Amino acid sequence: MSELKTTELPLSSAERKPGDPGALGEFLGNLLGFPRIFRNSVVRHGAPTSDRAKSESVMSNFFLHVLAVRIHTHSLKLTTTLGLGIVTLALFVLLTFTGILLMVYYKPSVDQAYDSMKDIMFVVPTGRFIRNIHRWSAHAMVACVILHMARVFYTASYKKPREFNWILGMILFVLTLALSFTGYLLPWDQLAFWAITIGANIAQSPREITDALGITQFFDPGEMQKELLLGAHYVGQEALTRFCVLHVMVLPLLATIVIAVHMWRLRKDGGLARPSSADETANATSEVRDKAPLKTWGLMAVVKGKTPAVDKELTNTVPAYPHALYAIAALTMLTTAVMLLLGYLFDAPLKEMANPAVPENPAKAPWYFLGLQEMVGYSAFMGGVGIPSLVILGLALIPYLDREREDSGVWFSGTSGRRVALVSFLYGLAVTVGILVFTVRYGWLREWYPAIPQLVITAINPGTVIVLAFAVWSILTVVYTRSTRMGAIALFTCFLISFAILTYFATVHRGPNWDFYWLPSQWPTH
Amino acid sequence: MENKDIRRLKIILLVSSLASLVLLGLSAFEENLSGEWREHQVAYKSSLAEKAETDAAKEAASSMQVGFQQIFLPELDRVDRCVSCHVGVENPAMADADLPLRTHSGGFLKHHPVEKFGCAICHEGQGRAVNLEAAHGEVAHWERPLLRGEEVYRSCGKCHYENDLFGAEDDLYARSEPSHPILQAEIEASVPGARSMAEGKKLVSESGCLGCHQYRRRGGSLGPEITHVGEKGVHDFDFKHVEGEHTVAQWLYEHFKKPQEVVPGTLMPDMKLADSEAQQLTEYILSLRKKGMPATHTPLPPRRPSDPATGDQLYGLFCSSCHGEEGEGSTVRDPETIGLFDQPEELMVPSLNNPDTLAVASDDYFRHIVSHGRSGTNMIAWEGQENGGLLPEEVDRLVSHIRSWQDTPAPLESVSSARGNVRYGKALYESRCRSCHGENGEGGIGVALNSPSFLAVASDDFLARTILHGRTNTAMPSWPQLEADEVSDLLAFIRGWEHEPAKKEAVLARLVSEATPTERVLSLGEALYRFNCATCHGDAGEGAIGPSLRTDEFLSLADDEYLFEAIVRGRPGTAMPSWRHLSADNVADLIQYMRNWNGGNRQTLEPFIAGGDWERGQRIFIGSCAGCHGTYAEGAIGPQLSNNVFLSSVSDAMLKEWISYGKIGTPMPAFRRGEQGVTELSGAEIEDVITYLRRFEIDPSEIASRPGIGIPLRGADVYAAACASCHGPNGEGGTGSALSNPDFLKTASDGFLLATIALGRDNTEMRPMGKGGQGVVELTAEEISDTVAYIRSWETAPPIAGIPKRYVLETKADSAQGGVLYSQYCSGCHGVNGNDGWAPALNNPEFLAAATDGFLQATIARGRSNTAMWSFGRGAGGVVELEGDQINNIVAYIRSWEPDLKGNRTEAGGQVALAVGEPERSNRPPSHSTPGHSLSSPRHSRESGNPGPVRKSQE
Repeated sequence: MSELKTTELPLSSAERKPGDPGALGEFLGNLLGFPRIFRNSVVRHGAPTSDRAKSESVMSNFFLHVLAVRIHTHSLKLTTTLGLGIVTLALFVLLTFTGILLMVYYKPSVDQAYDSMKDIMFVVPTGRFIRNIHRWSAHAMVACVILHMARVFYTASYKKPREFNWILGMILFVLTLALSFTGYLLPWDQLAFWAITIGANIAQSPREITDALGITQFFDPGEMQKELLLGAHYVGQEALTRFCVLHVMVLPLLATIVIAVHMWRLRKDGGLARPSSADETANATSEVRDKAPLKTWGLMAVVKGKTPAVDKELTNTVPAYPHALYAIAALTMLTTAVMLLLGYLFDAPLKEMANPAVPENPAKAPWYFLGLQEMVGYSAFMGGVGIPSLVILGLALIPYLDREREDSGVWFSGTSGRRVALVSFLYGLAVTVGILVFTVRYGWLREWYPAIPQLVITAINPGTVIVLAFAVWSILTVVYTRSTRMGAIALFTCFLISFAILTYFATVHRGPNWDFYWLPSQWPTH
Repeated sequence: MENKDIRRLKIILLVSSLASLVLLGLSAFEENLSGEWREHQVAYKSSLAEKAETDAAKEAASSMQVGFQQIFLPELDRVDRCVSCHVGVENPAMADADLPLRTHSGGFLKHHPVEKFGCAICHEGQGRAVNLEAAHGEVAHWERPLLRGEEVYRSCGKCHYENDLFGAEDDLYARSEPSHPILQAEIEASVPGARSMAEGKKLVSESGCLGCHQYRRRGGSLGPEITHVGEKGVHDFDFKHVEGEHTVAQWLYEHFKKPQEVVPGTLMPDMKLADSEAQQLTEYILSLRKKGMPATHTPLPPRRPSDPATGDQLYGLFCSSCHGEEGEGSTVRDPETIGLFDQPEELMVPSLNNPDTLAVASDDYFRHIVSHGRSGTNMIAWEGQENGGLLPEEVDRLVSHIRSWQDTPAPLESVSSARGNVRYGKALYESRCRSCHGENGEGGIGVALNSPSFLAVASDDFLARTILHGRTNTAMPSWPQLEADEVSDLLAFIRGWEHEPAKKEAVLARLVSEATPTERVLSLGEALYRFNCATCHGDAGEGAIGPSLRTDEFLSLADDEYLFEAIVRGRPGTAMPSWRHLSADNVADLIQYMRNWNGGNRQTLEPFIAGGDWERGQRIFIGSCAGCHGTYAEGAIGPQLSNNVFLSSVSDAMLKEWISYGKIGTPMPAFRRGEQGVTELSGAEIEDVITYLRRFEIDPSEIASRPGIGIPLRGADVYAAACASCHGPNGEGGTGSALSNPDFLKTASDGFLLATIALGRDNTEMRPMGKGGQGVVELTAEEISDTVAYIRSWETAPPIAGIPKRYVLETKADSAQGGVLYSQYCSGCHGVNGNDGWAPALNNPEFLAAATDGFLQATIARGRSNTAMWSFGRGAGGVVELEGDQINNIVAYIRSWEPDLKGNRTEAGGQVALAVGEPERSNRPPSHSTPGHSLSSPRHSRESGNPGPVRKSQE
């Protein structure tokens, strides 16, 4: 298409000259020209063939102007981000769409929820497909959020000035878990009911401390938490209503806002973190502006840090349109396609209708809480509240405790970090597996000293031992490497591998009564 | 890089977009266009067109819209989409079509129109689903798969009442309304396809399933409740040991066939069901559903016949699984030892139709055990809503049913000692009676039988009735299985202990020989009279308990033979004993002495045979005589006239004379004279009366017992002072026998009581109260009469509520020695502690409350035929023979387990609480834990580990 043209302004009637086709002709001309005029009124520019047009198309587009006009080539490399943020966002959008469709048919009442699920499965056109997509996307989103966090951590992208964005990321992490968890209950089947029951019991776990102290009857924060969560002492209509409101309104709204801020900060913090070496290694001759700008940019904002300043970095940047745009679009569609395929091939589980009288055995929480559930088995308080709070807090504090000025945007911050990560991986693996094997084989304090006070168990259990081992390891690493970043890598790696192992262990090797089994096929028949 | 990269991205974008589009399209196509139901409907449409004959039908066929169909039933909260495939279900033309288009079979849709009931309410499956497997519910996570064929009848119980075991209402008990179990007629009337379910219901109502399983608040608690067992899902069962597919029906089926294999350690007995029976039972059990459908969709509860469940039906429902179909008893698994491999697994359930059980156990005993159970055994308390749920009247009916297994005793009239054979009688006595009554009838556990004064007072009727009917709640069991001849033989043998009576000829010869008695004879006669007769007839023969003898009318008319018969044969059934132990001389002396009262004045009467109209005589008798002699001439103020011996010795002439002229000095008026308000009787009328009296000779069945003439209230004081120390304050027995026993009171006439009190019983503790001396309180005739009246009053107003006890053993017996004997002879079966063996537990408050000492004595002595309970009194077959004292000691030992021994004395029946804490365990005498029989038992640990009655339910 041609270059962006200056739109001809229609003449006022006073200026109209004789010989003109007249108002009627003009009307006809307008009518014929409507598609072109309408298009121009929407996109306001021609096909982005020039840098300027490309920039303009980003600038003038509500949806696109979240992107910087130009984007660093380093940011576009797959190895920089693995596309996880975009995939997560794509999943969020996908979930929103499918969620709205499901909401049309879903009835959030204990009497009707299950039936409406069945209707969605059987008679709502493509209802089963939509539900499958929603389900798998939800799981994928949790996974992607965790992976995204790991990526950001390992590339040290949380460093100044992005500390707060890391915090926002943590908030989004919690929100994602909350979204997934609240959605888990809605089908009102046995899986949902008992998973939420377990979850609610985890919320109640501070009771272990208050019970041990004998103050439960005066002060029962566990029960308060549980009631806040369920609106009752048990999972029922109150819980369902509550979860539904959270799941379809409160949490998505919050997530949307936080995502917006997250992305906005991403822009304002200078785009994706990249090492100083990125400019050196980048192809300096990538793209040269074809023309002098017809227009100079106004100052949009004053931002800190390295900004894509005029002249300096132009060599290493490309217009966001189409490079970033295509990357985003391709990732989004790829994600969509994968989710559609999953939804097409695999049906989301829907078990029997929730029946409080028939406990599932084993009743398992959603998979991302299974690591916690495993630790809850050791100590309800530590597994349910103590350790997760500690981990979330620790994660949130990473950017504030590790303030070493070194290149962000580099995986593992270099070879020493890579080594620390590897050793820590092996260490975390050994500690976690060792403790699990030990516990399964020999039991723990309660089995050896049945009369031992619960507080001792709360303080000393496999979960806390693992945490302690990791803390010691991390401190040793800090001392040895004289680097807080290395300590952070050591700690994060340990926790990540531990989370993975515990989740795997609880998923595969825990059977009825939370007993150990090699395989689910060995579970006693019931 | 750009172009290449962008191209790559573009390709990814294109491919993934296309892939998404394809997937969307595919799924849209699959879910909307290729539904199975669509094919079926197309087939249906073409089939309709084929079958169409009329134009209208063709028109209808061609205009049929292929489209999704569902039945929406808001009032049932259901959506059934089955008709999307089963589109011809209501079309009669599709009767021969293949499934799924075929018409519904039978006429069911007439009463259950599809548009009102839908499909899945009966057929189960997943009504909301639209593809084959899911819709039929034959997929994972759907608990109720399609019911095929006759299985569909399992659903009827959701609305219909026919499968209820009893009572449609849930609040039966609250309204105290007796329940109605299944009636055979209901089975017969069942829908053909539901027949197997009805048969299953019959099995349940006859196999005693409710003995362990509760149904509508009635039944035991050893097994799970079955009221709504059909509601249970797969998750409620453990399929570990089920061989077939994992469905509820299969579980139940295998469980019924092999309970122990499906649920190891279950109490559920193997009922040896045939395959078909197990299937029927499964079908029935699965039909026990909750009735949760709205009234618009349910039939009215049936109006049941008003007959409540009979004892037979109740027995079938609640008892037969343990006690056997005919009460033959069985063994059941012991809930406390399940899983303990080294301990006996089976518990013996007492047989109920055992003649010995029925003979020894009273109705009170049965009622108490049924009502209160037997803690520590599988026998639960059955009466009351919080227990087994039986109503009191149902317990009564059950007890009557148990009682109905007992033989009917031989009629008393056909028993007579005179007809008996002494040698047969001796053999019978040896095997049946000796263990309690002693080798020579000297008594032991039972009373002394060889006491002459006892035998003198006890008529054949008395003895026969006692033998045949026993004495409830005492050690004297009933022997209804004895033939009349055998009882006669026994009586003949017992009577053999009596003295040979004085020879009539010898007495008469002496009387004839000495026309005027010598002084010595008179003084001898006086002494004899004072010692033997004055007690009742008064010192001067003026009469007291007995009639007056000292009237001229009597003495002049009574010939020697009459007097002889009266003395020697007595007046059976009255206070006049037969004085068989008086020698001929003594009798003669006595007669001489009495004759001397009127100077030997004798009168001879014209021979006279009455030949009147007895029916008129009866009317006259009732009008004029019954006031004193009783309606049936059984005697009251006046002597008994319906007495056989009296009638046989008195002549019609004597009777006529006495009636006509009365007896001066007695209340007997002269009826010929009609003075002082007495109705005058003509000679013919008197003859009629005599004819009537003679009838008693011919037909003795009309003889009734003589009512007391004393004043019970006064008698109570006398009793308390003179009798209570031995017979117990309420006649429950002590060292003396039980008097307030209904059987005793029924058997013993007032005369028997009067004579026994007045004359005592030789060779026993029973002293002659009318004679005084020997430190015994002397009672006047009036006091004796009052006492008898008081004792008699117990017949209508039993002094003891519940089961009377005789703690005779407490004083006489040595429970420490009993403990040793128990550990030697009893603990092997009944367990060291009386509640830890395989034989029925003895050491539980309910049993001890129900079982009287007599019950225990008799059971030990007599044993229970055809059970492992041997007769320890007979000692045959290698069993040790225990002496009466030894048995008493054992009983005393058993009794020592009873909590609150003393407090329970008289009101044991009503007092036993069902409390679990068993205080009797700590109350045991120290003798119990003597070495050798205490801690060595492997089951001893149960005592501390598992106290209390077993009420746990099988899980």
